[in-house]
Amino acid sequence: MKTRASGVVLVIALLVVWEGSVRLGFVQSSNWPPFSAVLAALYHGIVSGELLSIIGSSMWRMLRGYALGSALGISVGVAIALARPVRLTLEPTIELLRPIPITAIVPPLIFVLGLDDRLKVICIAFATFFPVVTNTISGVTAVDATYLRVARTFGIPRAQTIRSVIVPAALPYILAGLRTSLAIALVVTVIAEMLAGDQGIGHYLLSMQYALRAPEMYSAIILLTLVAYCLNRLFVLWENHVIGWARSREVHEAP
Amino acid sequence: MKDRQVKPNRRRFLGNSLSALLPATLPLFGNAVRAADLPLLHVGAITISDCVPFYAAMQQGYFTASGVNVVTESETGGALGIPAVVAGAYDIVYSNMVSVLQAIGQGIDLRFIAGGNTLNPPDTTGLFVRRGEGLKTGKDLEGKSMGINDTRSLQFMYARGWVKSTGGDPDKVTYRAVPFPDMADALKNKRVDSIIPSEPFFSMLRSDTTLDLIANPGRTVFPNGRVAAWIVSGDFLTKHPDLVRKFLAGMQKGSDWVNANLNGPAFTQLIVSYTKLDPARVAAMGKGRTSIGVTARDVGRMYDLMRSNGLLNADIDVGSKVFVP
Repeated sequence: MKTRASGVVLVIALLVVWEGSVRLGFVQSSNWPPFSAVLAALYHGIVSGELLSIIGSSMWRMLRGYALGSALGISVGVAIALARPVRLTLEPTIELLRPIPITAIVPPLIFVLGLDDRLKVICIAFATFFPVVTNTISGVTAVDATYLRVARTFGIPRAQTIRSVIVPAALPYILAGLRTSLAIALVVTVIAEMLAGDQGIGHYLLSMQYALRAPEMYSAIILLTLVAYCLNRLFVLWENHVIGWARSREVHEAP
Repeated sequence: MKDRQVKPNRRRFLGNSLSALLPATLPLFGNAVRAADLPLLHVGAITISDCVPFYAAMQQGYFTASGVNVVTESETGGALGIPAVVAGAYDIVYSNMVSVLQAIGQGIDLRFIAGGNTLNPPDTTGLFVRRGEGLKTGKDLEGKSMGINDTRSLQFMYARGWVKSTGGDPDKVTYRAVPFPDMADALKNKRVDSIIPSEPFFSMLRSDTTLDLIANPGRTVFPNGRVAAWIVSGDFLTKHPDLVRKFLAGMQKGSDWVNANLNGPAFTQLIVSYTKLDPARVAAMGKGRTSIGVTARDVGRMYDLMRSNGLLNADIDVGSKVFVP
């Protein structure tokens, strides 16, 4: 079973176990509907447009936070790796903030940001920022010194060296950070929506749970899973397109 | 929210533009434009049946009629209500009294402006055990566990008080935090030996033949007690007592509407509209008359209960925290 099919078979087998666990009475709970009921709820949710508008609002929130966090992460990461004063100033703060769970900083953030979308977007950006910044620092630090010497020999200005030499060379690291952050951003989006407000997939999950409508709740989770899977696949495709050179170089340089 | 006249507001802007551009069609937009021109109140409510007078007032347009434009966002968990009111993100929120009194005990200036639900019949909560295990009293529950929604909460006090009143030692029962939606599973899978669910789970479990409802600890420990309230910050109350009065006028009409429609389809439809519950479930739920008044005596009783259970150490002048319209 070395083909892609084996992965699909496992997923289907797990879904069959799910359905069977309810049909055969192994699990009896209003919180555990048969998978077929979930599929039906998914169908109705999509046809009525309810689920799509909910997931759409979550995605829009996520993309804004992700873009903000990524842009900040890359800029700050490059600055820290290249300028010692910046590193000495920012690194302790970043290292102190990094391990803080996002839910713990929400109450103080409310004082500054209120409770609407801004709060959630900033939470997502906050969570996105750290993997990107640490990967960017590693990437820039690991840039081959030869590249920099060549750039200096040709008299290329500093700004252009950063743009045309350093960032492209560090791109494999940066993209690894961005990819890690993509998954984190999605999780934080759902959590932030659960904390406050009445929009998005996070709020929908909670309200369906309290409304005793488990099939609708799981249908939202399944849709979320599918969206996350597609986002990740798209990202990998884009990553291969952008840094295919790095992969082929690794093959050539391998001993 | 410092100055509500100056604060830019998209809806108000839209309202102004509409009234400027389309005077002829104004009658068509009558209500919307009027609401947008009124002073804005941000209210945090919880989408549970307890908040029904508020949602009735929203649906029936009573707040607009009283002269305030109420904008609401539901807080599903309710835990962020107090920080949000302190920060000014909400002007008014619905919260359980335990959290509010604990916040006041920490020196945060909060005021009670209206009462939430009370522990009156018909019951909306109770203590369940697995059928056939013979657990009936607090004495029986010694060495056993009880699933409550939060171990520093109202339910914690009910649970302890009830165990004591039925001959048990409250310290010999293990209290475990279990979210309301998961309580039934936790009990049936023997993760806990008893649970205290609230609506809509309570009415669902009453008809479950594998479980027994053995008591109502809330009513035993805190009969007719008021357990939740609508609150504002002291700062907001000082600056905008008029807005609070208008809000209360709308709430009173909402409460009257609820009491007049208690057994009608409009009431069921209202609860369905914001809880997304199945109408049959709403019909099965216990529905009691509501009242929105809150008195120093209501708050004082909760204060005493909390003090005697060690949930509050600070001295609070309860009377000064209750707004008398």
